[in-house]
Amino acid sequence: MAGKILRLKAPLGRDLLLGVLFLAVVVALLEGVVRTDLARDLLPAPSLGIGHRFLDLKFETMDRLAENEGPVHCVFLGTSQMAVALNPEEFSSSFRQVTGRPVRAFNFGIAGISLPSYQQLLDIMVTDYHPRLVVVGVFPPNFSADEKEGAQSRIRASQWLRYRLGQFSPEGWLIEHLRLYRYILRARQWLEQPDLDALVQASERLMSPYGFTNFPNRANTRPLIPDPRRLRRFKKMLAEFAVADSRLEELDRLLATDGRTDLVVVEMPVHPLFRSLYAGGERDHHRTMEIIAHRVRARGIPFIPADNPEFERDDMWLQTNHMNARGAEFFSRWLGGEIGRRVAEGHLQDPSGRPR
Amino acid sequence: MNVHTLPFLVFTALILALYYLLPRRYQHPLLLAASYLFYSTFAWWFAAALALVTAVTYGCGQGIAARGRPRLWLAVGLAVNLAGLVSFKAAAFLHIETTDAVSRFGLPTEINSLRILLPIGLSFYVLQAISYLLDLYRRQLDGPGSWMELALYLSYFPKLTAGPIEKTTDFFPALRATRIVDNTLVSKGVCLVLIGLLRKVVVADTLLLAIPPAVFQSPEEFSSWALLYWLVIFAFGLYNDFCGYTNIVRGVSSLFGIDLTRNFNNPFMFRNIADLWTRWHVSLSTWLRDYIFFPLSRALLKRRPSPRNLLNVSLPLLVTMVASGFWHGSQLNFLVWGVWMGLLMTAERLVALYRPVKPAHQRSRLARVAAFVYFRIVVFAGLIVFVLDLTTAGRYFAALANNTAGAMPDMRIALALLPGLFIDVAQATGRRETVFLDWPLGIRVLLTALALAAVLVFAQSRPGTAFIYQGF
Repeated sequence: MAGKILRLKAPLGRDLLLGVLFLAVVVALLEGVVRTDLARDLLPAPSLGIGHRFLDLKFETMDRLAENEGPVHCVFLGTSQMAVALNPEEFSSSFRQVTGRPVRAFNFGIAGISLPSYQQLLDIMVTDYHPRLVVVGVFPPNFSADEKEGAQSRIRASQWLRYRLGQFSPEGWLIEHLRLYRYILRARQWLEQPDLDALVQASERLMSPYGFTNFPNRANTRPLIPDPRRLRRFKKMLAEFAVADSRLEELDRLLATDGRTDLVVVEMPVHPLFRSLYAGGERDHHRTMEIIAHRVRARGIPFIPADNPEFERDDMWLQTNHMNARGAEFFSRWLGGEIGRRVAEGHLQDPSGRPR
Repeated sequence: MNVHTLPFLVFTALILALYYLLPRRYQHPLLLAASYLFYSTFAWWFAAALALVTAVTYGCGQGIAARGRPRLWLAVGLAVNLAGLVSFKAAAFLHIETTDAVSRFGLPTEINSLRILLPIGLSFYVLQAISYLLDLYRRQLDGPGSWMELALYLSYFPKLTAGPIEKTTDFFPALRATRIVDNTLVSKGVCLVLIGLLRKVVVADTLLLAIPPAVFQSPEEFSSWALLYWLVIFAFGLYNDFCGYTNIVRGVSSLFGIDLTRNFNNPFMFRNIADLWTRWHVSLSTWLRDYIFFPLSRALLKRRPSPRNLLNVSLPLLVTMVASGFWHGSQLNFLVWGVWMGLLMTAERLVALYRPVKPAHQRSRLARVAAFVYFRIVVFAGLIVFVLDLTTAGRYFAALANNTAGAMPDMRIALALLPGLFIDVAQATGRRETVFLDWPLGIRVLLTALALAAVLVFAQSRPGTAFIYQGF
């Protein structure tokens, strides 16, 4: 019956078959090429398709660090505050002074992420890099019920992150296993999202091999000049601020790592002007931090408050919640000392040991 | 289920397998069932509306063929079909207008309960129903055919949602003919599907998604250059979107051994407005020409047999283009666009009547460039009215004229045009849609690999973006 309508003869579909074969060979060859060190050095950072100026870069930079220098012992997780305030090199140097042990640290601070995103990133990080210690930076607005979604929507939409968190998708698989595909995504980003690509390029220039975002020198050490627009935004948010139960539950989920890594939660310092924006001023800020600290300590996890008086100085700040280079150097060394002291006193395991 | 998605590919593969396996007498029932199943995936009542149109058209067709009262049956058939089309279009218009009015008074738009959805493809199959009735009445068809043939003519799934609008005189014989699917037809079909996917997934979606939404909402925020640039990007996006759709469905139909009308022929290379309509959405232009322009011209010429009479020249063109505008939508901007196109074509016709146009090679280079620029300006001006409501279109024109000091936009997205332009140039020079099949094996393999890679890469991140013309 089939012969009545179909009159096919060989070589049917030869072009298509040869095209597929040719494509497979070219992909295999190019995949080999982009995995070489030379290609890595010459090409811009590939993309994971998340569409965030920092997220793609941080994973790539951390990969390189692990490949070039060995396992990453300690990871700092937080928002843009963490990204610009914690220089892992300064931290390591300070830590070494206290403990006599070297530690390889990486700053995974990402602008605009929220607590659920922390948890997702932490899962991937612990699976891939096995850090012994993860330091989570917290900041009261992370606990507001109406905290903006920020990067969360992009993270939720990311095929790669969803794949990594157990939800299969062909694109997620391609991104995970084909480095060439990551370069194609970067090329598409250049073509389709020029503004984002320019931001990624700028971030690439500013980011150290340890994930620290070093703002250009001019802005780096200048004293604080409050930005009225940011102040208005924060004032609006903090005037009726209350810690949301749902956020605390998200914090609980984040801290439940089942012993896969040690955790420390650190309060990210803010300028006094920021604290004065609460309806009840400084008092409200401290009360908020006490609620968070209590929740953290209840799970047996160390909480480090940002109680150093040096953080009050104007010349440490770029904005009311972002430190400048001087502030970053001081904060990094201070935190290195604080964590080093806890390790030396036996309150924390030494992160510089063999990775798990 | 859109025609460029994986579910459609799987659906088509299954139907094709059954189609090739079944004896010929079961092939039409299979195609009909597949078509209704496909249509039901959008909404079950779309299929019910299609069945109703089919039943009414078939009944009236039987009446016309019986020669008892053919004119009455024709009138009933036309009235029912046109009433269906007009009421859905008007309801959609009313919905937009009342929503606007309600929101203008600061009231929540949810109170506007008039939610009428135009069935996808209705505008296309109603025109085919009308051509069936008229062709039957004018005895251009050899009898009314079976209900199965008519039902398939209206519902054949590759062309159901956005055409091409087939002629009865092409489609019915194609259904009756012995169909042979050989290597040539399969190669052509696969080539067309690949070209269509490339146009839609890689070119059109990339261009259309890159356009900042504010361009068509707050044009005053953009420089003249940016407005011009994004308008051109939109035009090419729209073209590749619709042409991509047509390529895919024609390719799929080839695999069933049924040839569908070519809808596009390098439309941006048009030499004048009349020429544009022989290149853009050809099946609609042909329908309008056969069922509105020609009958009206003939009727007017009978009354005043002078081809230079202003009414004879202008009225058929104006009515045809206004009808084309209304077919796209009942909003005022479509009607204004129709009048604008009708006036341009009338002017073109009058000039040609009194001063015949020389062939291109006899004209100076300056004249050719001037004509090229002029025709693109007037067509793109029409496009602004076509795309935007009249108020926003006015603001767009004002911003185009006033914001000349602004900066040029980042133009890298235009690179996405390259595959589309490459296909256009190859097809124009080779004078064949599937010219690539004549090229040497090495180049064919290379192009196949590139096209597959591009489609696979781009389809990953945005599967199933709807086709613009399905909205009409």
